[in-house]
Amino acid sequence: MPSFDEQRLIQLTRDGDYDAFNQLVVEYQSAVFAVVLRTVRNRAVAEDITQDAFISAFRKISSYRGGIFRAWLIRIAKNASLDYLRKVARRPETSMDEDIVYFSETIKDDSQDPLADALNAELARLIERCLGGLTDDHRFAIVMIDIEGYQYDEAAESIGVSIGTVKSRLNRARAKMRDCVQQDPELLPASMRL
Amino acid sequence: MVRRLLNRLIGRTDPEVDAVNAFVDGDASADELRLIEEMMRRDPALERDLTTQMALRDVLGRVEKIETTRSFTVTPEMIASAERKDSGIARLTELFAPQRKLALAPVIVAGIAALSVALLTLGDFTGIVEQSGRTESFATTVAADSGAIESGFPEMALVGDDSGAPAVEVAPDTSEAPLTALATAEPGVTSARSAEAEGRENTFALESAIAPPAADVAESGADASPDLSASAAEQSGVETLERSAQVEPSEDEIAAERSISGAADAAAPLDGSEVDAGEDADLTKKSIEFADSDGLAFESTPESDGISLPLWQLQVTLAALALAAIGAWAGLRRVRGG
Repeated sequence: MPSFDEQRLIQLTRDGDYDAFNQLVVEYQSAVFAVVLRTVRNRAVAEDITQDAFISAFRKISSYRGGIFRAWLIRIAKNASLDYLRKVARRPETSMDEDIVYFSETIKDDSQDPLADALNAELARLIERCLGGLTDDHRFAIVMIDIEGYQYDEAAESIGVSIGTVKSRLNRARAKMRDCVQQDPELLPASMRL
Repeated sequence: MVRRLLNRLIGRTDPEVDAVNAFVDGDASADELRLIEEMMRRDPALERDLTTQMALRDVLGRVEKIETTRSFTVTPEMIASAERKDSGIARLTELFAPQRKLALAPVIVAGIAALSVALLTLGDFTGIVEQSGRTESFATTVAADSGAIESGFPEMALVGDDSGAPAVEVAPDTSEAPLTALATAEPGVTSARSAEAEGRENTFALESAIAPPAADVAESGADASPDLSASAAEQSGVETLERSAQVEPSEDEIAAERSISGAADAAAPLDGSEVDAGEDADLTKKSIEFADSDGLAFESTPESDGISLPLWQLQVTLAALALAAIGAWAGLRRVRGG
């Protein structure tokens, strides 16, 4: 639960209070941006989409019918991200491959060991590649639950499906990720090697 | 498999999926642990899979969280700008945006319309379809029929009114007797007069309902006759004869004039009131024109088995539709900045 009076801020936003809405923005912008960036993998595009998502949220605040507000915001941003990806897929001349620095995942490691750092960087690239090989639905499920650490109910609300659907997608996504990462077993922790 | 399908149908997760997820998440209940053990007995490879998934989850949990480097707070100017963008045209362009299913709808509509125009044109050339409402004038028919008469096929039935009753009949026996054309307005209408120009060869006699009942005409007098004959002609569907005088060669001109004379006679009142014959003929012509202007079409012997369609109207409409769809598509692309 948020540490501030979320419902009051939402009500003030409904009355057109920009300051109230911006408090909500500051609270949730990292969560929204993370999901968008992991979806489009382009920081500049992710920033644009996130900004548009908050603008859209302010304008559509009257359509918010309760529930987890962060999930509602993420859902708006997720839909905008998917729209962008579909648009890019239909117009290859604006492909993400041109002069764009991809977002790269990194893995936390406190060991201070250069060799471990190098291995973690490789592992991060492997995970990134395997995540990219998943369908949007599966990737959203595994990003929301396993990477971002959301509960099933909030992930379901963010994605716009039932909890059961999220669980099924997560189950399949994990199985696919397992198969994918095992193609480079030397990068995996000992517990993951066959 | 069936159980999974049923679970999916009722929106419930498969208990095994729930158990596997809970086990990998590290919060499996006692029942779920029992189910997992049972699944492991059935499939010994499951234990290794679940161990790998748990390790993978740990790795994913160590992926760095993303923090924003900028603020996404909104300002009134941003909202106003977004509202300007979200005008009616913008919403329309969004509806047909490339990622939407409707994106290609204008192109598809234009394509179908253009294809239809092409097919109609092709059908017109090949005779599969033909323009509806393409009527043959009585004169043409008569002219054709005079040939038919000579060749021994004088029968001709021209239908000119909604009732389907024959409007004009050409008597078959014309070798000796005068050619008689009978014009009746509709079944049951009393023939006012049978005008037969005896002694003339190939003379039309119009036994027509264009003449009103004699008593009415007698009461109304000579002045009323033109109106009455005009209205009767409108009802009757008598086809224009004057075209024959314009189009056909001299024989037909003669026939037309005689016919008109016959019609004029038929339109005349029966009580002997004096009506100038020439005036009547003119008025009858007028009434015939009225009949023609009502679009009363005569059908002659069919010359084609083609499908009768309002061809050029369809072609023009479809071509306009194609152009409009292409224009809309191009306009939307321009507005969208595509």
